[in-house]
Amino acid sequence: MGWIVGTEPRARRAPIDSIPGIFSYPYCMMAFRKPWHVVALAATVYFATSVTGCTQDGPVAQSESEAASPMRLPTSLPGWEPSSVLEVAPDGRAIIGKELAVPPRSTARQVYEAAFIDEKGNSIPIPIGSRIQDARFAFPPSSLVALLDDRDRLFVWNSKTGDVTPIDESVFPGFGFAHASESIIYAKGQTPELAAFRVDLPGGSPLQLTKGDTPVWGFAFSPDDKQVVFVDAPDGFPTLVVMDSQGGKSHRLTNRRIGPDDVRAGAELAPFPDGRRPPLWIGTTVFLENSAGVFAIDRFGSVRVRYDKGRDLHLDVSATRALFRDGARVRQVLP
Amino acid sequence: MSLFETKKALWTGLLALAAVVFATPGHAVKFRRPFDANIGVNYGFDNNPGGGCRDYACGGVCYDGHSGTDFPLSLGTAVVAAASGRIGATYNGCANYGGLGNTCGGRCGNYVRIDYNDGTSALYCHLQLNSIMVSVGQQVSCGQQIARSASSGNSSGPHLHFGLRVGGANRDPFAGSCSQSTSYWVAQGSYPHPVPSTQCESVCACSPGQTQSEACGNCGSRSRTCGSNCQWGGWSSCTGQGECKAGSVESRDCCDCGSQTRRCSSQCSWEAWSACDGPDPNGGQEACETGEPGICAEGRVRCLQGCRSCVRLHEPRQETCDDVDEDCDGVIDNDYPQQIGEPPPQMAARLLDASYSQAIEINGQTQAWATFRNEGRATWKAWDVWLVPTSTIDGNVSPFFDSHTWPAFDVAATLQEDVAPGETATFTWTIRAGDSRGKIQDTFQLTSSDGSLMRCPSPHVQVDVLVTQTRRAWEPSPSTLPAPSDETSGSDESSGCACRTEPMPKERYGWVGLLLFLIVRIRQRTRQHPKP
Repeated sequence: MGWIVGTEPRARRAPIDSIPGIFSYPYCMMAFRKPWHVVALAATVYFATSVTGCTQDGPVAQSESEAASPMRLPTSLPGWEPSSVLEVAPDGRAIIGKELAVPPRSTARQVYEAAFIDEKGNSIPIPIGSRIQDARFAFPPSSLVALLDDRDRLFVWNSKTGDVTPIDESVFPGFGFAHASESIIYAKGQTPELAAFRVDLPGGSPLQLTKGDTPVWGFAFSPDDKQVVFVDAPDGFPTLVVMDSQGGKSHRLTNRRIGPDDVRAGAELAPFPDGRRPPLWIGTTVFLENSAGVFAIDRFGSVRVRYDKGRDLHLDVSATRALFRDGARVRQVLP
Repeated sequence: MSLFETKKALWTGLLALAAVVFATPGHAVKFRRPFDANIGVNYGFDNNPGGGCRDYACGGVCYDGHSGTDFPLSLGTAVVAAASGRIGATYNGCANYGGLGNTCGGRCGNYVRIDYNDGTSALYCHLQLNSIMVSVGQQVSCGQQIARSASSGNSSGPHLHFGLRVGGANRDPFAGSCSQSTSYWVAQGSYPHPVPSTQCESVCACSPGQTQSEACGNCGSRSRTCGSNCQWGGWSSCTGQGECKAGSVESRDCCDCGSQTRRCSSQCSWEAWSACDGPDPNGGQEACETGEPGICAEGRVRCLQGCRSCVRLHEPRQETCDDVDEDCDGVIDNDYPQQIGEPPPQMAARLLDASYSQAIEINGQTQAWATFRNEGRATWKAWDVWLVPTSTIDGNVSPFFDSHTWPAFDVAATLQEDVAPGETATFTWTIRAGDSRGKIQDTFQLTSSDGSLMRCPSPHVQVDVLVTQTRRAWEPSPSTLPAPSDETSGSDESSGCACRTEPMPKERYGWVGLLLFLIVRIRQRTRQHPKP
C-alpha cells in the first residue's frame, strides 16, 4: 500500500534539462536519517507536483508517457527499513510507516508501525497504537486523520487537538473523506458482503448507504461532495458505480453494456480494482488502479488513458492531480 | 409491577418463545465434501473470539480470525455444491492469484454463496476466474459442480475457503469440544486434518411402498414407488401418451393457396387433415386457358387442394351444328350433329333426297343425284361448293371415279349456281363401276372450294352399289331412275342415308310376268305339237 517519494532539492531550483543525468544521479537517492527529512520530502513533493511542477514545465512533459516527475523514490528510510510514507498533507504533515511482518493468514495487505510528522517536523506517536494498516488525511484545512488499525477498527484523530474518535469496527480498507465537509465513507461488514456507511464528523452516527449484500469498497467523493464513486458488484461482477453521497440508487459507471446475467463477461473487462488503492475523483475524471495498471475513466465510463503496470495511484498534495508510480519514478496521469 | 406490566411481560415472553420456535429450522442441512478429491482441511475455523486461534477440537489447525474452513485444492479443481440449495450470490472478476491483503470480492475473490432451506448458507471463496457455472436464483443439487478452485482475492495460494453461516454468523461446520456438538457434515472425518465424506445428505422423501402416479405425455400416465430407503424410485415409462394434446389444432399451408387443419382427438391422435380448398384467387374471376379444345378451353383460376388450378368454365356437351366444338374433342361439329345451333354455322347442308342405281354391271355407269338444302348463314357460291368422294380425302381414288364426267378425280360435281340460305341445290354426277364384281361404296361430301368440309347436319350421301356381271333385266336403266325432286319422303334424313327406299312400282315389272307367261305357253304348245 505504501509509496515513498523523495527528491534532491536542487532539482526544483534548476531546470530539469540543465541537470545532466538527473534520472540516474545517485545523489538524489539520498536517504533520510531524521524525521525532519520527511518534512522536507513532503514539502518537496508538494512543490514538485503543484501547478508549476516539473510534470508540466519540464521537457519530460512533452507526451503523456513522458509526463514524469523528476523525483526519485528512496526504497527505505534508515532505521525504519523498509519504510513508507503512507500519507502526505499539503501543509507538510505526513504519516510514515515501518513495514511490519504481516501476521500469517492475515486479511490485511500490510501492517505498519506508524508515526505522525507534524508541519514542524516533530515526530508524534500515533495515539491509537502503533500498528495501522491504512491512513487518510482529510482535505485541507481539516486536521482530521482517519486511521485503520490492524484489528479493522477505524478511528478519526484530530492532529491539532489530539482528540481520537472511534468510528466503527470491522471496517474494510479503502475509505474516503469528503472535500469540503468532514464526512467519511467506509465499508464494513462480514466479508464478502459489505455495506457502505457514512459518518459526518464530528459526532455523527453511521448512516448505511447500501444494502450490504455485495463487496463494496474504495470510496471517493466527487469534487462537490454530492456524489461518491466506489467499487460494487450489483450484478455479480466488479464495476465502478456512482451514487448520491447521501445514499440512494447507484448506477454503473463502467461495464454499462454488460447484462445482469452475464457474469462471465464482467470479469473479462478491465479495469476491475483489486484493492491496491481506492479510486480518485478529480474534475470529471475517475482514476483507478488495478493489477493491470492505472486508468483514467471519463464520466461515460470510457477509459481515456491507461498506464500499464502503473501502481500506487495517489493524489498530489494539492488534490488536483493524480499521480502514480512507474518503476522508480512518479508520474502524473494526464486524462 | 402493575397488572398491565405483568401482562406485557407475559406476552413479550410468549412472542419471544414463538419467535425462537418458528425460527429454529426443523432440519439442519448436512454437507458433503465440496469437491471430490481426497483432501483434508489445512486451516480450520477459529473458534476463539480473542487473540490466537482455536480449532473445533481446541487445537491449533487454524489461524487467528479465520471465518471458514480451508481445503488446499490445486488450481482448477472442480468445486461442487455441498448440499442442495439455491444460489444466493456470485462474484466473478478477480484474478486467479490475488495475494494476501487483496480486497477483490471483499477478500473472498470470485465466490458463490448457496442458501439452504434451513436458513444456513455457505460461501465458496477464491474460485477461478470465469469458472462459475451457476447464476443467482438457480437451484443446485448436492454434488453439482458450481465452479473451479483458484487463489483469487485475499489468498496466499490455491485453496477453497468453505464458509458456513448460520443465522448470519460465521460457524464452524465441524463438531468438537470447542465448536458445537452436532456436525454439519454427513461424515466429518477425523482430526486434525479431517476429510469429510462425499456422501450427500439423505432426506426421507416418502414412505416405503408408497406409490405415486401422474399424468404424462398427452394422454398417458406413469407411476413410481417409494423404496425401502425412503427415496422415490424412478418413474415408469409413460404409457398411452399419445401423439398430440387432445383438442389441439394444427394447421399448415397448402400448395400455394389456402390452408388445412387437423384436430387432435380425445384419444390424443391426429384426425385427418381437412380439405385444402381455399378461397379462389380474385374471387374466382381470373380468366385462364385450360389447354383443352373447344368450349373447354375457357377457364377460371380456382384454388383446388391448395393449388392454383385452371378449371373449365363450360363442361363438354353434345355437339350442335353451330361451328363450335362443344364436345371438346378438337373437331368442330363432328359426327354430323342434326340440331342446328343458334346462330347456325356459316356453312351447313342438309341432304333432302338422293338417288342412284343399286346395281351396275361391270364397267357400267349410271347417274346419281342428291339434293341439299343450304341451312347455313352464307350463300353457296357457284363453283365454290363441291361434292367430293371422301375416299379421296384418305388419299385413295374413288371406286366410282369417272374420268369423263368428273371435274377432277376428287371432285364428283360442283355447284352450278348460287344457293342462298334456305334454298336447295341438286348435284348430279356419274358413278362408274369397275371391272370386278362385288359391292363398292363411297360417301360423297359437300365441301367448300377451300377444301373445308361441311359438317352438319347431313352434307353427304353414301352410295352403295353392287357390281354385277351383266345388267339384269329387272335392273332399271339409268333412264328409269326417278328424277330428283324437292320431295323428301323416302329419304332417311336422320341417318344421313341418301338411298331411295320407296317400293318399286308394279307396272315397272309387269313385262316380266308377261314374258313368263309367253315362255310357259310356248313350252305347252311344243309338247302338244311335237316336231316330226
